Amino acid sequence: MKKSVILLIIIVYVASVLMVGLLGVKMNLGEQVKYVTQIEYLPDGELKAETEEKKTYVSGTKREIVYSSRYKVSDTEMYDVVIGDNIVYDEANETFEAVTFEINFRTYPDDAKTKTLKFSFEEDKLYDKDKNPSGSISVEKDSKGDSLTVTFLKNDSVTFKVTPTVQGGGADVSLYVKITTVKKNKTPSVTN
Amino acid sequence: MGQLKALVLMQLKDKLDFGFMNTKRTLIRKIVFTLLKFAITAAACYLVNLILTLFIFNASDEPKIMIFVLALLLVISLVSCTIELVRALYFADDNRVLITFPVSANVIFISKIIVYYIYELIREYMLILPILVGFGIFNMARFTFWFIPWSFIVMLFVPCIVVLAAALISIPSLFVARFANKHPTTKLVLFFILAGAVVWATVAVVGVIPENLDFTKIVPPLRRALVDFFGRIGKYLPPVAALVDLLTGEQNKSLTYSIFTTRTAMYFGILVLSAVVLFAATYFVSRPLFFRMMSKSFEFEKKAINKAKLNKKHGRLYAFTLKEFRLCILNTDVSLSFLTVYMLVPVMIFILNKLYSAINTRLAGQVMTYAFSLLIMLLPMLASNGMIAKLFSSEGRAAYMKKTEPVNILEPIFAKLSFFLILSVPSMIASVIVFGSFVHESFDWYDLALLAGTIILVQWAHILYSALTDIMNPQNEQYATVGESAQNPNENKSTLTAFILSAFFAFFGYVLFGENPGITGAVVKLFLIAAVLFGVTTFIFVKSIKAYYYEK
Repeated sequence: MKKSVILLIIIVYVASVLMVGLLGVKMNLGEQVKYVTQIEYLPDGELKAETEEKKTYVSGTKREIVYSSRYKVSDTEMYDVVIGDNIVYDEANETFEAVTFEINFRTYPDDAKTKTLKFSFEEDKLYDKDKNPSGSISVEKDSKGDSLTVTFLKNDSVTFKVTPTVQGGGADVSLYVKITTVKKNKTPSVTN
Repeated sequence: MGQLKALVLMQLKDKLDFGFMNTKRTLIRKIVFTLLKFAITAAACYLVNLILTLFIFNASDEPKIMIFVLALLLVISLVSCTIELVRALYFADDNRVLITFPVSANVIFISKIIVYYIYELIREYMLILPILVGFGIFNMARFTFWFIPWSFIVMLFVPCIVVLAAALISIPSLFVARFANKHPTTKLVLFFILAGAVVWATVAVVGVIPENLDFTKIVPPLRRALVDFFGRIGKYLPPVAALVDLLTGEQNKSLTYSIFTTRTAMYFGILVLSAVVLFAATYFVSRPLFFRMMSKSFEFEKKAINKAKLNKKHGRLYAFTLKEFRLCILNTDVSLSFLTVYMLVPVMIFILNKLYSAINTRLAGQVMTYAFSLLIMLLPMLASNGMIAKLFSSEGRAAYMKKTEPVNILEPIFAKLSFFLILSVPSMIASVIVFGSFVHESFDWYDLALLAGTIILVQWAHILYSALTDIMNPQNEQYATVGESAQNPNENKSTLTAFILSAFFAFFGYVLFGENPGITGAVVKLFLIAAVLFGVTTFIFVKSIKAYYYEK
């Protein structure tokens, strides 16, 4: 082999290492856009270890209704939620309405380009005055797209799927959330 | 003087191809291509300087880098000049003709030195000078414009010194070469020592590679180490440092350099004087030995064969193949140089991927590592096929005997190529296995098998192409008279095609590896392209050989 050819091969060899070392690390071809890779639920900023019971009063008559509300994110994990004050309890049917859950979510990585989330509910559960007046829940998303308010119009449970509005960078990312309103096994008492 | 001129012109005509002077068109084309090659080399040097000063060095470090680069190039020149001068002075086939001429051995010796000086001048004007020009253009503000024309003048004397020094060193080198020729096992022992040194160097280099190679963090300590190294190198290489001082001139108060100084004139005087002293030394030391050493090279005593071996009868193709294998193995220049390349490529792939595994690459970087590994697997192997592009011409006038053999012409031709076709395969498989050991999570065994198939087919296609260029454009006369051809166009074509093919496959590998449906799809496509290339090349090869050898 000629001298010049050997020299050229050495230059190509060194360039191969340098190009990968400088461009293969810094250059983000195909990875310039960062996508959400994980979604996490944030119950008011931190997880609670125990169930918190809330008392409330209905229609001017003092009634103590003890019930617990928990929602499931997986088969093994359940998180407590904040229970709103606007509760209407139908004593006859033992159902209650307008139990509100405010659920916050956090996405990773922090510098993902699009962090807004999409919530997919079971259609038959969603309340709509025209399409589904018997729906058991109404939902309201906040403008930032990372928290959700679920209001129960009757005693029920609902599972919804949380996904990033823009998927990318590999496998689809999703989180399943199940909210169950459960009346605790306790006889309500009324105090005068 | 007339005799000297005639001898020089005669040998120059054999060594260099002056066919381009026949017509105006070819002359213009030659000038344009030469200037283009010069400009490309200068531009490449400019670019390298730009990158180095952007990331590593300051502009004030430039002269120190030039000392290192010039020293490296001059040492390589000296070594290759010595090897080639030993061949040209003492082992060239034209010596048998030259000593019959009515000229003294002194004139023959001086004519050979002059011819070699002209050849070396052309080489250095096409390699070292464009590097100096690129360097000069980059540093125009400091070295001023006069650096460039001054380099042209200084470089007239540098090849003179290199050639004369090589002529002096050629005497002891000749004795070493004679000893090695008489005892071929010496070359084999040297080869294995070299192979051991390569293995040791590989282990040393791999041991030095850090676990996490981040070039952005490595630059500051690397820069300090390199600046320190280049700063000290001038002290260890005073002649080269003086040459750089001669080229750049003296630095004045405004921090620019000027060549119009007394010191520059003094250094130039020393350069010319060194050339004169070396010429005198060569004339009085090498020349007296020249005739005796030269004539000994083609006078030999036949050794009596004590025990005759029975001639075994083999099949035709096997007989041709066995003969070619024996010729290649006995010609240690061919066999050892090929074996060196075949052994080095897996080692290069190993070091390359070891470096890559230390770099935290992103997805695009990972794809780049696959593409560059493919490039390095192909490039040295294909570039070494330049020797195949002179394989048939190097038979000299014996090549025409092939036309008289009553066999299918493809048999002896394929037999001649069999050594390279067969022995390159284990090297390529080893390269792929080494590569696979680093990427086994991405490449399955069938992906690696297809990749090995791809590079084998490309190598075979290039071997056939190189052989065909040699058969179609034979340089037999050059090899018959001089024993070598300096500017073999077939070799140049083969080398150029090697670079183009390697770049093509590496580029397409990069595009395909980065796409869906992933690695397997990419290697299948590469394999298909290689298979088509091999098929087409084989078809053209067979058709061309038949057309060339069977006149209808």
